[in-house]
Amino acid sequence: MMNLKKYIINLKRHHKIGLIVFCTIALLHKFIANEKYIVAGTENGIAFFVEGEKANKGIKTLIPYSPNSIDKKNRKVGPLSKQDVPSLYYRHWLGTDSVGRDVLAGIIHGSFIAFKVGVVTVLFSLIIGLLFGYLSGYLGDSGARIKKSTFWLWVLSVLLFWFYGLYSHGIVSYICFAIPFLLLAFFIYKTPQHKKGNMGFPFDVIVFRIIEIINAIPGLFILLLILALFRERSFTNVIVVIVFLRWPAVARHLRAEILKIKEEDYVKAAKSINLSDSKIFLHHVLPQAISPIIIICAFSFSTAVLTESTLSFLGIGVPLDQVTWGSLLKEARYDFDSWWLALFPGLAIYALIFLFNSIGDRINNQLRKV
Amino acid sequence: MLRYLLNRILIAVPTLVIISVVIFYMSKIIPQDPVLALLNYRGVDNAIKNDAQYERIYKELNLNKPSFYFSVLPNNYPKNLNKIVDSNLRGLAKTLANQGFDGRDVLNAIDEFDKLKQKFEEEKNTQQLIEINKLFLKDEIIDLTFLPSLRNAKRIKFYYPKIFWHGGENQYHLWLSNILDGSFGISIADGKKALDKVKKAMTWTLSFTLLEFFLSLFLSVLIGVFLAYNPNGKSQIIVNQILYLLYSIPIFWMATMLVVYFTTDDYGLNIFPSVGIDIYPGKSTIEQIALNYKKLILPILCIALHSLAYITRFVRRSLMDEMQKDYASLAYSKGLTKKEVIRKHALKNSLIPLITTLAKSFAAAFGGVLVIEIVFNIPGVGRLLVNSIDYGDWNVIFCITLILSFITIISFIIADILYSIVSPKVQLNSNMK
Repeated sequence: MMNLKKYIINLKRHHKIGLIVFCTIALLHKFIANEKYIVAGTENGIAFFVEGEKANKGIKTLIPYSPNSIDKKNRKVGPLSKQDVPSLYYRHWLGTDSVGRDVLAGIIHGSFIAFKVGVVTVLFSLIIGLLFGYLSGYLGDSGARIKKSTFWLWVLSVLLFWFYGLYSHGIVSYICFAIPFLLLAFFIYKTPQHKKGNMGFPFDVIVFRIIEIINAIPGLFILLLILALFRERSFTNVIVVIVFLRWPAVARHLRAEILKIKEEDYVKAAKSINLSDSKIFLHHVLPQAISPIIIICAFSFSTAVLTESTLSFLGIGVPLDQVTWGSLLKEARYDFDSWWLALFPGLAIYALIFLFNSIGDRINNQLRKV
Repeated sequence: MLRYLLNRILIAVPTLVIISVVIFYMSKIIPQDPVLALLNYRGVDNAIKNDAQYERIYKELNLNKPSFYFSVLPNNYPKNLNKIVDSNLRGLAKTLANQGFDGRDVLNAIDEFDKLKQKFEEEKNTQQLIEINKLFLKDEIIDLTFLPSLRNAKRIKFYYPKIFWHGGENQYHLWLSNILDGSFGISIADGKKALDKVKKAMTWTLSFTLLEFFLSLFLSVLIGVFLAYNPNGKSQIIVNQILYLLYSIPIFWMATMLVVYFTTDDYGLNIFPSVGIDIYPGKSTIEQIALNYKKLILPILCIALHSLAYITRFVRRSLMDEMQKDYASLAYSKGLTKKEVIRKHALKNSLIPLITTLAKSFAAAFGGVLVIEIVFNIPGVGRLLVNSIDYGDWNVIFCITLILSFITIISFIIADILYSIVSPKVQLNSNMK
């Protein structure tokens, strides 16, 4: 935890401001841009998120438009041109699109989608990447020993349990798929690790083959292919696919980092006093790998946001009724005379990616200096 | 060296085989009936009603064969469920087999059920037909014991895996041998051969990518040397800052802005021709590319700028690291000037790590090209893929995926080999990662 604090202190001021502004807007998007009243008095007393007609008196949001609310009087008006609005409060500060939807409201609500996609992707690809990084980097091909006979027994059990998993239903099937992994852990736990004649379980080989296969197909193409296989459009699918494509990179970086740390003297010392593998990993290896992990997180975040906005720009896999930064930018391709549509949503994407890339670079540079 | 090369290729083969298996099974779970798609393309109306036609195409596409060389099934399953043409009946047969009936009984029962259905259809017995159609909804518990073949049939409670061997007569084998013969089937969008379509699109994309690749490589080595020569100079710092800003620009945003601001009269900057490619009928793809050179300037510029930022930063950092090393100091002490040290010693070494990066960025360039092709309306692989996905043209989609993975793997192998030629320090072993 001390390490984490150090990195937050070492960030530059504009990084901190950028992070705070982005998170605030993303989390409070409904309270910043909404056509409804936040709190209003109605016939039935005070209520939250009340539509305009039902309210007597209430508190409005900073921007009185939702991303999908249509202003029929102001179609395709620019931020600088004359707008047909009752007062300055109702002005479209960043213009509207060809249907009459407010661009600023779209950008504010889009920030939440970027936030959601980024955070969830980082979280899951980190969990998977950490697990596989541990298996292939820390345990490697010889870290976890197992008897040869047990190994082949285990392979047999995998085939058998997965077969029953495939042809049974409901919870039983999930249990059948999970059992081999538990068995493996049990076998390795039960095998005396320093006895001669046992073979090492080839984690490194297996993990690397999987990564190689995933890397062999160009990312964006595999993304489109998998999304086309899903029947319906949803952000969950998009996130699942981005995680699937992202974890190999995370696992590779962590593996390299862990391999380096493993050779340090204090790890060898910890091993020599017979500490358990999990203890060494959690207390001695992982804390040293915190800075690479933060760097990976920052770059994963920007990659995830970039991928999501590319997909919504192309209109593939992402729900069509959701306003995102990419979908706003998409409209610029059909509307050459609305310059604001090409500029502002792209600027938002760019600013966010730039923010996270430069945070990653900053920590990376500090690491190189030490 | 030869041994290393063979080793490297031998490792790539299983990867390719696994990818082909994965793509094959992907083609099995697509949300589309390939028979109906083909019938629709051939312009047959009411395709579903004409069972004979459906069956003919079903057999023509080899769908009645088992899907792989062997199948591992519960011991009571029929050997090949794919023989049943109707997909609803196939589902029903699977359900019956799951209920524990023996394979022969299941097939008999399906026959009887089909006859019963046809009888009701002839009698126009709507009530019964609705009842029957209800059975196809999978979430209901189906009870078909009223059929004579199932009335006294035995059910097993416990099943064990049984391996059925099918030999060469299976879908995957036929699919793969078709592909090795160079036939990916036809595109259901226009009836042309899928491979021809992809080849044409690939010529666009590849020439495009190569042009962009060498342009950005040339420029970025120049700029990288310029930046590393005097890292603290004023102009160098400015250029570096610009590159840093350029590095994070999403490529589709840059493309959109260039198109919106520089190809129309609206903003007084109508410098480049508008998007879209002129088609000259009767000319080969290469000639078409040459004739369209004016329209390709902007897209190539766009994607080159993007990779320029990345490669330049890489060259700069790598060269600066090399300049710190002992051999550079030795060269200085020999009396060489900074220029000579870079030209004769440091530059060569700094470009070595670039090779692996380039192989990766070449593969990644396809991703960037995809977006560019869509924004600038160029008939390359990326646009073909997106259009085919919209249309459900799966033959083309799998053709593209397979060819691209092949190119990616080859480029990785070439990078490894180049790396080992240039840098004798690298040991040639098969475990190089």
